[in-house]
Amino acid sequence: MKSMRTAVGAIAIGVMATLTLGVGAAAADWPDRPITLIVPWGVGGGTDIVARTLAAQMEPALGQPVNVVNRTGGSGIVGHTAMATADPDGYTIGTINVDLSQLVCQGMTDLTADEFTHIALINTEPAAVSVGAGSDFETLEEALDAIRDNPPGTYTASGSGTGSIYHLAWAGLMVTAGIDPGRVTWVPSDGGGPSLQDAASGAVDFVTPPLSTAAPLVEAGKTRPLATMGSDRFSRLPEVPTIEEAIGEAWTSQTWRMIGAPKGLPDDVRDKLTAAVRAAFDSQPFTDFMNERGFALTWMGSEDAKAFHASEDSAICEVMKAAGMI
Amino acid sequence: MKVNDAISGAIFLAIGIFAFVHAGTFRTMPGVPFGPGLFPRLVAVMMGLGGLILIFNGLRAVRYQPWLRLEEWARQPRSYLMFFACVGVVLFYIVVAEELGFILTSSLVLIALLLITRGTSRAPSSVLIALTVTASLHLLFADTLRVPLPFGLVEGWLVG
Amino acid sequence: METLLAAFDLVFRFEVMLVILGACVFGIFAGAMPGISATVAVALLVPVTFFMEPVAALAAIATAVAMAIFAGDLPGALLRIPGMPASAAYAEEAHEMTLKGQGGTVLMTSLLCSVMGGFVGTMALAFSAPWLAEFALQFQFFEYFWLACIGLSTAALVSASNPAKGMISLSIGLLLATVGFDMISGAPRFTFGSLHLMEGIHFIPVMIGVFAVAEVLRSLTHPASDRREHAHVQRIDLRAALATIWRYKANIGRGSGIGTLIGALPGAGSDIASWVSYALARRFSKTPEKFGTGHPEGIVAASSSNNAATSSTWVPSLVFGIPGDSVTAIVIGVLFLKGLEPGPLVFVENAPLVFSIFVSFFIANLFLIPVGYVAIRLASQLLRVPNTVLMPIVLLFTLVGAFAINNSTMGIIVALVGGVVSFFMQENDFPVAPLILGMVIGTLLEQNFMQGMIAKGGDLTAFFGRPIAATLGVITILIWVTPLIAAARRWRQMQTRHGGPGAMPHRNSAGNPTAG
Repeated sequence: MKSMRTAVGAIAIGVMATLTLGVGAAAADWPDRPITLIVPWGVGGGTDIVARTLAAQMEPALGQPVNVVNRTGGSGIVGHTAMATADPDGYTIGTINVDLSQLVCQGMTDLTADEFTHIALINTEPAAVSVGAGSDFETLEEALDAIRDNPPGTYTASGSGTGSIYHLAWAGLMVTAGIDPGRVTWVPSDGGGPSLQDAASGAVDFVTPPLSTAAPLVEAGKTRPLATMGSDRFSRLPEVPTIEEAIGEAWTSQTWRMIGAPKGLPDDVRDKLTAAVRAAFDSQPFTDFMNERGFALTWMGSEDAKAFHASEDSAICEVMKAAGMI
Repeated sequence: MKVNDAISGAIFLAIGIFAFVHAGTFRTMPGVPFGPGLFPRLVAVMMGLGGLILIFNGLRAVRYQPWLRLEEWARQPRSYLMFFACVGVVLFYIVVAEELGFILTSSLVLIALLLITRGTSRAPSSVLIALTVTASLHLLFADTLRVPLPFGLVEGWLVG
Repeated sequence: METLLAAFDLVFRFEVMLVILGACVFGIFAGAMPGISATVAVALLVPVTFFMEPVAALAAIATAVAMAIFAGDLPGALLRIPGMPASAAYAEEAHEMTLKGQGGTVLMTSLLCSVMGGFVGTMALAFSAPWLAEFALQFQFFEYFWLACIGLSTAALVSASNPAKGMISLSIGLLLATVGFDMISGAPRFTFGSLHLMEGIHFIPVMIGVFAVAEVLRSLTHPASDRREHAHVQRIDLRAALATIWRYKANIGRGSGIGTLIGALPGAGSDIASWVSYALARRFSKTPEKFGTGHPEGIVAASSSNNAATSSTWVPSLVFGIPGDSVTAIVIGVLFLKGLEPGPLVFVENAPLVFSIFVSFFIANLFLIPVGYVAIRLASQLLRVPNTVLMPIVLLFTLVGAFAINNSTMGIIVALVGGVVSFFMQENDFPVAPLILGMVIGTLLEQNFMQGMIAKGGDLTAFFGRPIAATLGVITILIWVTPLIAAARRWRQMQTRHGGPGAMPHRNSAGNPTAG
C-alpha cells in the first residue's frame, strides 16, 4: 500500500514538473529524453557499426540513451533528408557520408553542406586498388600500361554502385594517369565487400575498397593490393605503396563520416553534442574498435567539419565532371 | 467477393502495360550499356501475359462465372463495417500518430476497434485490454527494442 | 583434441550458460514479431556484447539468431502470419495443420528439425569451413544468377493449381523489388518523384501486409468457419513429431545440406535456402499432391534448411572477412572488437576461441529444445483468445512492426496497401507466396544478371561459360522444362478425352464448340 502511494506521488510530481517546465523549455536541461541518431544505411554496414559503437559511448556523456535508427533507401538520400528536415532541437542527429556530396553533384538532392549543423568529423577512409590473386598485375604501373595498350572494354573494375565514391576514386585515378575512364568497364556492385569477392573469384579485374576491408582477403592470399589512395601507407599492410609512390602522380580519394544535425540547431546544444561525440571518440571501447577494424580515427570539430564538407561538395563535383560521370 | 478472371486479368494487363511504358523513361547513366528499364520490362511482359491468359479464361467462362459473385460473408453489412473499420483505424494512425504520440493513438485505435468487434456492451474490458496492449507494445518496442515510436503528449509526461 | 577440451572449458561456465539462455528468450520475441528481423535483434545485442567476454558475446549472437529463425514459425503456423521471411515459404502449409489441430505437433517437428539443421550447419562450419569458403569464392555473377532462377522456380511449384495467377503474383513481387534507387545505374525507378517511394519498398512491410493485415481482414469479415473449431486445442504429440521426422529423414538431410551450401554463399541466406528446400522437397516427393493441404514433408526440409544456413553463413565471415548477410556483417565487427581477426589463419591462431564458438553453437541448439517447447506451449494459448479480441491486437502489432523495419510511416502505408491487395487476391484464388518470393529474389536475380552482362559486354554465352554456372544453368532449364512437358502431355490427353480443357468442371462440354 505504501509503495503504491509512493508511486502515485512520484507520478504526480513528474506530471507537475513537466507541466511547469513545459515542453519547449530552454536548452539548459537538454537532453531530457532519448536522442535519435539516423543512419542512412542498412544495419551491419560500415557506417552503421561505427555509429552504433559511437552512440553507445555517447550515452554516459549525455545521460540519455542514443538510439541508432536506420533509414535506408535512395542511395542515402532518404536518411539524410529525414535528418536534415527534422526539428533542430538536438533530439534528432545523424551521420553524414561522403556519398551525399556526389548525389548533390548529380542533382539528385539539394542537401549541400549548408543544410546541416555539423557536429564533428570522426573518420576518413582512403580507397585502394586491389586485384584478384589470379591477376597478372604485380604493380599499378603494369596495370595502367595494360589498360592503355589494350582496346577499351578489355578490363573491368568494381567497388560499389555507379557514381559512388569508389567509382569516383577509380575514375579520378584514370584521369590522373591520363587515361580515358571509359576504357575500363565499371561493373556496379553492392558495396566494398561484395566487390572484393568478385575480384577474388576473377569476375572483375580491379576493385577499389579500402585496405581495411581488403586485409583479411589479402592475408588469405585471395586478393593483391597494388596501391592505396591515402596520403600515407596503411599500418596493417605497410608494404602497399601510395598512388604517388607507385606511379609518380598524386591522387588521393577517401570516404568520410561525420555526425551532423539539422541546420538551425542552437549553439549551446551543438557544443554539448560535440563534447559528447568527443568523449565517445576518445573512449577506450571506441578507439579499440576503430583500430581493430583498421578504420582511421580522424577528428574535426564543428567549424572544420562544415568547411571540409563544403570543400568536398565542390571538389567531388570537379572530379566527376573531369571523369565524364555527369 | 469473387470477380470474373477477365476483370482481374484486365487490371493486371493494364498495370503491365503501364510498367512497360514507364520503364522506358528511366534515366540511363553514361557507360552502363544496359538500361535500368530492361528487367522491369521483362517482368511487365510476364505480368501482361498472365493478364491476357486470365482475360482469355475469364471470357470463355463468362457463361458459367458471373462478373461478380458475392459469397455469404460479402452479403452481410457487418463484414463491410469490419473491413472499413480496420482500414480506417490504420489510416487514422498514419495521419495522427506523429502529432498525438504512440501511446495515445494506439489506445484510441484499439479501443475503437475492440468496441466495433466486441460490441459496446463490453466496453470496460475493451478499454482495459487496449491500455494493457498499448503499454506492453511500448515496453517491448520502444523501451526494449529501441524503436523510435512517435513521441507525443503522454510520452512527454512519462519522461518528466 | 586439446583445443576442443580448451574450448569446452571456455563455454561451460555459468555466465556463458546464462547469456545463452537470455539470448534464447530474446531471440524468441524478436523472431515471433513480424518486423523485427534477426539482423535488428543482433544489432540490439551489440552494445550489450561490449561488456561480455568474447565467447559469451558470440554465443549470444549465435543463439539469438538460431532462436529467431525458429520463432518465425510460431505465428506462421498458429496465425498464418510468418514472423520471419525464412518462415514464409511454409507458413500456409503449417497453418493448414493447425486448422486440423496439429499445430503443436507441427511446431515441435519444426523445432526438432531446426535443431538438427543447426547441428549439420555447425558441423560443416567446424570441419569444412575453409573448403566451404573456397567453394563460395568460386561463385561469380553467373552462378548467383542461376541460383536465383532455381529459387524462382519455387513459385511455379507453390502455385501449381493456377499457373497464370502464380505468374502474376510473382511478377508483382519482382516489380515491387525494383521500386526505389537502382544500384546498377543509380537511377530512381517507379518513384514518381516521391521521397517516400525513393525509400524503396522493403519486403518485410509487404510480408506483414500480405500475410498479417490480410489475415486480420479475412478473419474479421468471414464468419468463423467450423474448421477453426479444431484449432482451439493444440496438443503437442511428441511421438507423432518423431515419427514424421523419421519418415522424412531424407528431407532433413537434403534440406540441411542445401541450407549449408546456400548459407555459405555471401548474398544468399536462410530465406532463399528455405524456399529452395521446400521446392525440392516437393519436386522429389512421392506425394507432391499433398503439398499445400497440411503436409509436413516440405516443412521438415525447409525448417532444417534455414537453421543450417544460419550457421554456415559464418563461413565466409570467419575465413575471408566477407559478411554472408547483414547479421554476420555485425558479427565481423564483434569479432574484431574481441581481437579475433577474420582470415584463414583464424583456425590456427585462435583455435580454442574459434572452437568455443562452434561448441556454443551446439549448446545454443540444445537450449532451443526446452525453450522452444515452452514457447510453443505458451504461443498455442493465443488460439484460445477469441478472434474479435486477438485480431485487433494483431493489427496493432503489425502497425508497429511495419514501422520498425525502417522507422518510417512508409512501412505502415505499404503494409496497409499490401494487406488490402492481398485480401482481394486471395478472395480470387491468387496465391500470395510467389509475391513474397519475387521480393526476396528479385534483387539478387536482376543485379547479378546486369553485372554479368556489363562485365562481359552483353555476351549471353558467359552464363554457360564456367563449369558451375553451366551445371546450375542446365539444372534450372530442366526444372523449368520438365513440368511444362508433363503439363503439355496432360493437356493433350485431356483434350482427346473430353474434347476440351477440364478447367471448368461445371460446364457442359457440348455447349462450347469453340473450345480448344
